[in-house]
Amino acid sequence: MNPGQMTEFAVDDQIEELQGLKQEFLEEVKNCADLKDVDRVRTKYLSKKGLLQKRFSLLGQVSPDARPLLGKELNSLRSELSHQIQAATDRFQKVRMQHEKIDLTLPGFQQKWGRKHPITKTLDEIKDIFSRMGFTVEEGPEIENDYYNFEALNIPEGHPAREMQDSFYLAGGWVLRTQTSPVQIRVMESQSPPIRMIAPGRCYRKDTPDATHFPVFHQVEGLAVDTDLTFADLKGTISAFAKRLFGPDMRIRFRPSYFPFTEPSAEYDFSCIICKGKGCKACKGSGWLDIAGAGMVDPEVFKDVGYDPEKYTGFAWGMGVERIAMLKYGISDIRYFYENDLRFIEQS
Amino acid sequence: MKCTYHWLKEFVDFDFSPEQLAEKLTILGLEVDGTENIHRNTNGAIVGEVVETVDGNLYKVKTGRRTETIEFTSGQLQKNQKVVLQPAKGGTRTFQISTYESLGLSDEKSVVFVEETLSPGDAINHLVPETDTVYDIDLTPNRADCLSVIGIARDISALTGNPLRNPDTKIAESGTATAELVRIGIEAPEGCPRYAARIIRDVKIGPSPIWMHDRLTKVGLRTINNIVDITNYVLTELGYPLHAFDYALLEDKQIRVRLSTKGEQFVTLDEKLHELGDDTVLICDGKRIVALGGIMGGQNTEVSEQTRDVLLECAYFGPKFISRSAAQLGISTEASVRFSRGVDPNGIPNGIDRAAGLMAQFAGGQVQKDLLDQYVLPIPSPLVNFRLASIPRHLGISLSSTEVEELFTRLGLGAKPIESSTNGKTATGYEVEIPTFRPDLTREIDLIEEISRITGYDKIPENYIASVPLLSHSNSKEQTLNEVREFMTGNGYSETVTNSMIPGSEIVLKYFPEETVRLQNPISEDMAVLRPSLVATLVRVAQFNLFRQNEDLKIFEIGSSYLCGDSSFLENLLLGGLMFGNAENAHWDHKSRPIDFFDVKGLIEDFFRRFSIPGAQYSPKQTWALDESSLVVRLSEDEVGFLGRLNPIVQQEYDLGGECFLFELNLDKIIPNFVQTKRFHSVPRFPWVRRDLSFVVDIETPGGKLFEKIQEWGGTNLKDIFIFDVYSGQQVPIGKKSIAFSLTFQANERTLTEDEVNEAVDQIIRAARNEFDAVLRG
Repeated sequence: MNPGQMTEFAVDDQIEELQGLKQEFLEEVKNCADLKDVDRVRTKYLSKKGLLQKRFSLLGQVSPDARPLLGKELNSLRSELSHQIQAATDRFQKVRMQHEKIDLTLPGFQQKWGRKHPITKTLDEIKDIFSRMGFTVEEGPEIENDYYNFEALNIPEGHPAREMQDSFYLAGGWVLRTQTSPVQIRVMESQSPPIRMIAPGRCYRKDTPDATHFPVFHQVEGLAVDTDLTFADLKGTISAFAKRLFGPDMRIRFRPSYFPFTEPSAEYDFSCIICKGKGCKACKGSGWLDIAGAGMVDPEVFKDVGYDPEKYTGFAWGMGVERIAMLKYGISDIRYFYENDLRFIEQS
Repeated sequence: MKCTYHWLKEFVDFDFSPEQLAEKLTILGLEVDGTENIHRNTNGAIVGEVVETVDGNLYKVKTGRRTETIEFTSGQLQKNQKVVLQPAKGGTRTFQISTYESLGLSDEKSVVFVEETLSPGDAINHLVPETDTVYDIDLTPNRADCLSVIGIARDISALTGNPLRNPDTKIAESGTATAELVRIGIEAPEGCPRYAARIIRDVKIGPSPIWMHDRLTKVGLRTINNIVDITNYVLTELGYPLHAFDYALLEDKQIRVRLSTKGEQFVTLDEKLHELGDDTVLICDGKRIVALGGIMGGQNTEVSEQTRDVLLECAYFGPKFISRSAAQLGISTEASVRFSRGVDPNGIPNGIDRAAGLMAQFAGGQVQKDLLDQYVLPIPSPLVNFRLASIPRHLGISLSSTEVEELFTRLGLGAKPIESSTNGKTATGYEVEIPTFRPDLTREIDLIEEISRITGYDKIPENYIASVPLLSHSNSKEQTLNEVREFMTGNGYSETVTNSMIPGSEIVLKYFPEETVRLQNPISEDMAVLRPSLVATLVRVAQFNLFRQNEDLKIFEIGSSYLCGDSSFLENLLLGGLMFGNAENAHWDHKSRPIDFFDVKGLIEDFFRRFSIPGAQYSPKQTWALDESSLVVRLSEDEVGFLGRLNPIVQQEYDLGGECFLFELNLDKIIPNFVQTKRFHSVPRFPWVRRDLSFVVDIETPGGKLFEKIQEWGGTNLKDIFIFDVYSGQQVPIGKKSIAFSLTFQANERTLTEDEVNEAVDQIIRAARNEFDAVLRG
C-alpha cells in the first residue's frame, strides 16, 4: 500500500475498515482455545508491531481535519480490544486454576533434620554463657595419670577423698578421669595468671546406673586465677550463670563442704526451678536443688603449679552437665541420655 | 555419723526445732542426709518395784505411793526387781509392765532393765524422751572432730554462742595402782604414740541402762552388754574408740604394742581369721596378739558373761597405719574410720575416764588407782599465724578483730594477738593455737574457712563485676567441632552420645586383639573395655532403635576411641555415622528411597567440600567393619577414615536386617587441614553454556577416574561437571556402559564464544577416546 494514497481515503472508509478489523478480532478471540491463543491474538493486534498500532502510525498522513475523529475511533477501539483480551485472559486463568486446584489442607513435605544430643545442647548453652563472661574453653585427655587426677589436686595416696570418688583404673596405674580438674592443672602449668577457663568433658566414676547416676557423665569445671579474686567473685559468677541459664529470679545458696583442692570449699544449690523455692517434691521440700561443688583454690594447688599463693587467689567450681540438662528440660532419668532412642533425641 | 536432737541438747542449748536444726547443721557444712523421727512410749511411764508374786503371772508392784497388782507374762520377775511401768492400753489396770518392745526401744520382748539409782514413782521420759530426731550426717572426710556428738555440739555452740557443756569425767579410784596390775610397752611409737589403760575390777556384766540402750539403738549400734555398750557409747559421745579386754585372759598381765610381720594370723571378735601383712599395729599380751590396734579386738580376750575385771584401752594410733591396714585387711570399723581420720591424742585421759566412770556407775566396778598412760611421742598443739587482712583477701568481706576473736573462742581455738611483718609491711593478726581435736586445721587458709563457715556463706556478697583478660586465646577446635555437628544435623543426622565402656564380649573387639583397653576394676562385664572405634557404639544404638521400632536411622557421634599404643594409651577424636532404612521422610507426594552407598559417599565428599579440604582420595579397600563395598579415605597418603556397607558378620550379630551404611573419620588427623578463614572469589557475571556428553566405555572403566580427567581436560573455563546418567543394558553393547556428563563452561571476564566451547568439548572427546577408549554416544 502506498502511504501517499492514504490521504485520498475517506475517513468514513477508514472507520468502516476499523469495524472489519474489530469483527476479525472478536472472531479470533472467540476461537481462542487457551491462554496461549489469547496471547497470540493480543500480539497480533495490540503489540508494538500489531495491526492496531499500524493504524495509529498512519494517523499522521490523514488530513488534519479528519485526524481527531479517526484518532478518537482508534483509541476507543484499542480500549475495547484490550478489554476483550483481559476478559478472555481472566476466563482462561480461572479455568486453569480450577483445573490445577490442589488440596491445600494436606501436610507438606518435611526435610529430615538432625538434632544435637541434649547433652551437647546443654554443653553449648553452658559454654556460651561462660564464654560471654570471658572464660576460655579448654580440653584434656580422658585417660589420666595419677598425678593429674589426684596428686596435683592435693589428693595424695591414702587420702580419704579418694574414697569419695571411686575410680576406674587401667593397666599401669592410669585412671579414667573422675573430674575435668586435671585440665585446670595442665592449663596452670602452661599459662600464667590471669586465667579464666572452663573445662568441659567426659568423666567416669564407679557408680552403678540408676535414675540419677551413670558411670559415664559430663562435667564442666571452671577456674579463675588473678591477684584479687575472692569468694564474693565465686558467688557472683555462679549466681550470674544461674540467672542466665534459668532466668533472673534464680537464687543461689552456698553451703560449707570439703574438697582437697579448694579451701574454703562449698556445695552450691539453685533455688528450685519447679516450685521457685517454695518447696516441692523435686527439691524434697527444701526449696533448693543441689548442683555441685565449688571453692577458693587451695594454696597447695598453686604451689604445685608454681604460682605464688601470696600473690594469687582463685576460685573453681564444677557442675554435672546431665544434672543441668535434667533440670532444664525436665528429663527424669539420666539413662535416657545414653540409650539414644531417636524419639528422645529428636525432641532436642 | 548419726546423732540425736536430745543427745546434742545435753551438751549445748539451742532454740531450734528439730527441722531447723537439720537446716542449721547443713549450713555449718555438716550435711544432714536424712532425718528420722523416733517415738518411744515413755509418756507417763514410771519406775516400779516388784513387792511380791501374787500368783503365777500376777505381781504386786509398788508404783510410788500406791501398790498395784499387774500381770506380766514375758518372763519371771523377782522380788525387789525394778521395772518400768507404762500406762496400759484400754485395760482396767492403770499400768502395764514394760518390755523393750512395748516401750518401742527394740523388738525384744523381755522386761526392761532398770538401773539401781532409780526409785519407784520416778518418771523416765527425761531419760528416754518420748520423741527424738535422729540426724544422719554425711560428714566430709576432713571433719574427724564431728565423728562424735560432742564435736557436732561444739559446732552448734560456735554458731549460737551458747557455751559447750562437757560430760563429767570425774571418777572415784580405789584398790591397786594400775601400773602394778599391768605393764605397757610400746615398741612401735609411730604406729601408737600414746597408749592409756585403766583396770576396772568386779564389774557385773549385765544389760545397759535404759537411756544408753535408747541412744545406742537410735544411732544404729547394737547393744551387747553394759561394758561393751559403754565403750560404744563413749565412742559416739566423745569420739574415742575404746577397747575392753577381759583382764583375766591377758597373759603375763602385759600389753605390748608392736608391728606385724607378713604372714602372722589373728582371729578378730567377729570370728574371722586374718592373714596379716607387714606393719599392722598389734596389741599383744605376754604371749600372743590380742587386738588389731585401732581396728578390732580379738576373740581370745573378749569380754563375756564370766568377765569380772576389765582392762580398758584408750590409745592414739597413727592415721596412716590404720587406714593402710584397714584397707589391706578389708575391714572398716567405727574405730578404724576414726583413727584413719585422726582422734584427739591429747584428750585420751578424758575419754578413758568417762568410760571408766560409767563402768563404775552402771556395771558396779571399782576403778583402780592411777591412769596408766604411755605417751611416747607427744603431739603438740600446732601454732598457726593468722593475718586479719587475709579475711577480705579470700572472702571479700571484712571482720573486726573482736568478731574474729569471738569466733576463735567459740571454736575452741586459742588466739594470741601478734604483729607479723612480711616485706617490710606489718600485718595485724594472731598466733592461733590449734587444739589437737582439729587435725584438719594446719594453715591460715583453714582458719579462714572456719571463719567463713561459722559466719555463714550467706554473709558473703555476690560480686557481679569481673576483670577479664582481653587477649585470651580462643579454642578453634571447639568452634570447628560445632561446625561439624551443624554439618551433620543439617544433613539429617541426629547426634548420639554413648557409653564409651562396652562389653568385653563385643564382636568388634576381635578386630583389635592387641589394642583393646581393659578396665582393671569394671562395674560389670557389660562395661569392661573402652571402645576401640565408634562403630562399636553406633551399631549398638542402631540395634536398640530397631528393637524400639525406629526403623529409619541417620545418626552420628563425635567422640573418642581408646587404644593401647606402644608405650601409652591413644585417644583419637572421631566422627562416626550410621544410616539405615529410608533416605528421606515419607510423604504422600514423594516415593521414599532406601539409603544406599552413594548417600554415605556423597556425605563424606560434601564434608570435605564444606570444610574446604582439597585432595581427599577414596580407594576401594575392605576395612574391618565393612564389606567389599567400602572405601578408605586418604589425605595426602594418610588414612583418615573409611566408609561403606557394614560387614555381614557384625550386621548379623546385631540383628540389623537390611543394608546398613557407616563411616568413621579421624578428626584429630582431619581438623588440622581445616581452612580457618575462607577467601571468597567474585562470581562471574557472564553467561554460562552447558553441554551434555554421553560416553560409552568398558563396563570395568572407573567412572570416577573419567570424571576427574574430564575436570582436568576441561581447563579453567569448565566450571561445573556432574554425571546425570549411568546406563548399561540393551541400548549399549554388552560389556559396555554409558556415562552421561553435563558440563558447564563459563569464563570469569567475558562471554565465551561458541567456538571456544566447541574446542574445549572436542578436546575432552579426543582425550577420552585416547585414554579411556570412550566412544561418544549418538
